[in-house]
Amino acid sequence: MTESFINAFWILLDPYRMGMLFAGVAIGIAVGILPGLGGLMGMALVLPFLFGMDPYAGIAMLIGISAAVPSADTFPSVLMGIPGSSGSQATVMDGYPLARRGEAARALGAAFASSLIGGLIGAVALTALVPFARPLILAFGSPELFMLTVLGLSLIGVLSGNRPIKGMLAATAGLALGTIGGAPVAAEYRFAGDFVYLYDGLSLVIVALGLFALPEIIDLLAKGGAIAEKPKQLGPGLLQGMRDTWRHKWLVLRHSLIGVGVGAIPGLGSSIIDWINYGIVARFAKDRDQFGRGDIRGVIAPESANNAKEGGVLMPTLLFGVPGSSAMALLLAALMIFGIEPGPQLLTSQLDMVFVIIWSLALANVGGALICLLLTKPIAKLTFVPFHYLAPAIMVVVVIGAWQETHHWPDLLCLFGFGLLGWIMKRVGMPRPPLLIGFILCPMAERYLWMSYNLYDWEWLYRPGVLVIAGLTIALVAGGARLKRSSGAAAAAGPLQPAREQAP
Amino acid sequence: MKSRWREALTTHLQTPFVAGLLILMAAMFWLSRTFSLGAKLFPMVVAGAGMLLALLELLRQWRSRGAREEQDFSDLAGDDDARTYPQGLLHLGWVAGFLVLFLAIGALPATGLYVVSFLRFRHNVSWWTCSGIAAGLMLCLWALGLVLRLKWPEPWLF
Repeated sequence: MTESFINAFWILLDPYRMGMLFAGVAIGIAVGILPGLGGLMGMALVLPFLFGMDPYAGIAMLIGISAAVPSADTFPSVLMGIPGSSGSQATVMDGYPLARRGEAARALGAAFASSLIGGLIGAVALTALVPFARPLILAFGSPELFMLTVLGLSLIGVLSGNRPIKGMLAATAGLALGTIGGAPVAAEYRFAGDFVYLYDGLSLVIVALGLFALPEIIDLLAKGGAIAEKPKQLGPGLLQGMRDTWRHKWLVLRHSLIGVGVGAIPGLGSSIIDWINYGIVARFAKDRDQFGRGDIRGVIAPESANNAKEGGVLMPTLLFGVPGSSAMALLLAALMIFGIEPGPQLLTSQLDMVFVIIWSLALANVGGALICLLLTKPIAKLTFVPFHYLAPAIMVVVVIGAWQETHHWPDLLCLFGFGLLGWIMKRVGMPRPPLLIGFILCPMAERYLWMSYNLYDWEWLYRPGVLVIAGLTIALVAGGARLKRSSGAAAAAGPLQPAREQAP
Repeated sequence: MKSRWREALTTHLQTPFVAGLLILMAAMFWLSRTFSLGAKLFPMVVAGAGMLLALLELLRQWRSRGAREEQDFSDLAGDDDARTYPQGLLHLGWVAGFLVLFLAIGALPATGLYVVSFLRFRHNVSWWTCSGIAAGLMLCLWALGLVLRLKWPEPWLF
């Protein structure tokens, strides 16, 4: 294990792989500073270009994107009062009032320093878990692995949106889409008709680009100049912000650990982690009167948790093959592109890859936070570029990425179809992440179900491990839904109102 | 009249959407019957679960009819305003136009034409600026194609 840990570091030190890691960090910063985009779209954009790439370099690039977004999305939250992504909504609460007081640099300094420390704590927690988790998951058979897939899908379905049934229905629709094409355990084509294009199934890259990239671009364009607002002055105080982080080091540690813990529950993810942590810091602080008006602790707590959660979401992703978030579903997809089977096999046959991922996470967190700290002024200016200048370039990359799949016109037809579907799903309040995750997990779920049925008939339903995971599913879904409801209520009615009212 | 239509679409589009999913799941269940056991086990389980969930969702919608549906806050979508539908459909039209151009005249010419026309006619950007952006983007794509050995479409028209 130690040998793999050290070996992975040397693998990643290769200049090409380091270059790809920092290219990912740069892309993560670019999509993080544009409100409405985010890590998922950034990862979907680069996915088509991973084919033929060195697996370590490709995975390092994706980790670079996902680790840099939680740092970079602080810029619009602090400077414009608009969350850069769903993970930085609570940062607006105190970050934006600080910017209005001329202390934007202080807020950004504190946010990046706490992001850096939080990200490192997440990576350390993930490393510490691997030796303990390995023997546990090796004891699992196909019935338990199938139940774990069901657990992940249920949690993601229930927790990723506001309506549990809609979420689970979306996950089921994703599983259904995944069954199109050749059956993995029988020599038959399903639901493909005479369309040869469908014989290999729908392309994951096209589904991801269509569902997540096109609707975001269209909505941002449709809403018009919401992004471009008058910039706030950064003011002095970057170092003061870093000193604030050091002063509140125990707060950083506490919220980083909470971030890791909550991040490890599939589906809870970034959309509520910041609210949970903001709620905790605002509730348990001795002097609470400045929260919502520019208290630096209101920036430090959600930001440290937001970066630390990347270590948490990687836990179910790497150990069980159940994505901890929708962005991690794309990481699993990338592993499949490179011919690496996600799940327990990863810990036995690809331990080097697991540690490359962990090292990439740590280095990308350090790199992303340092780049944001050192280049605060130029990056802050980029935040105010009107989106219609960027949209055509992003659109062209999306279309070219989709075209690289099979180089046939149905690629583009499918891209447009899934773009339309994603846009309609946003309109009808149907969460899209469960659909994508269902689609990705479909082959794995089908194989585990077939193996369980073949080996044990329906008797597998009574295995102790299966019953324990089923009970855990019910408990986590019920507990998580309750947690989500309370944090959702806080997001809707909490101290966000004053910040929005203060916005010019 | 227009705003009433938009309100109706925002509030009620979810019901036909879920009903459509129910029909698709039922069709999937029906079609799966003819497959061998290995091929039909999983689709039938999924379609059965999907039908049950779609029915439960329709029941929930019927019970809470008339109430305004909560926006999914994890999507950062915000509330749809009056412009969202027509503007969104308009931009979907621009996407469709670009896809047709991409196949008809090839990747690089389509990119240039799309960027210039989109920025000039949709956002009133000056000719110089949009030509500069288009030229820069075409150059980047050409370089990217060389480096990554990307394949471009054979244009239908030439």
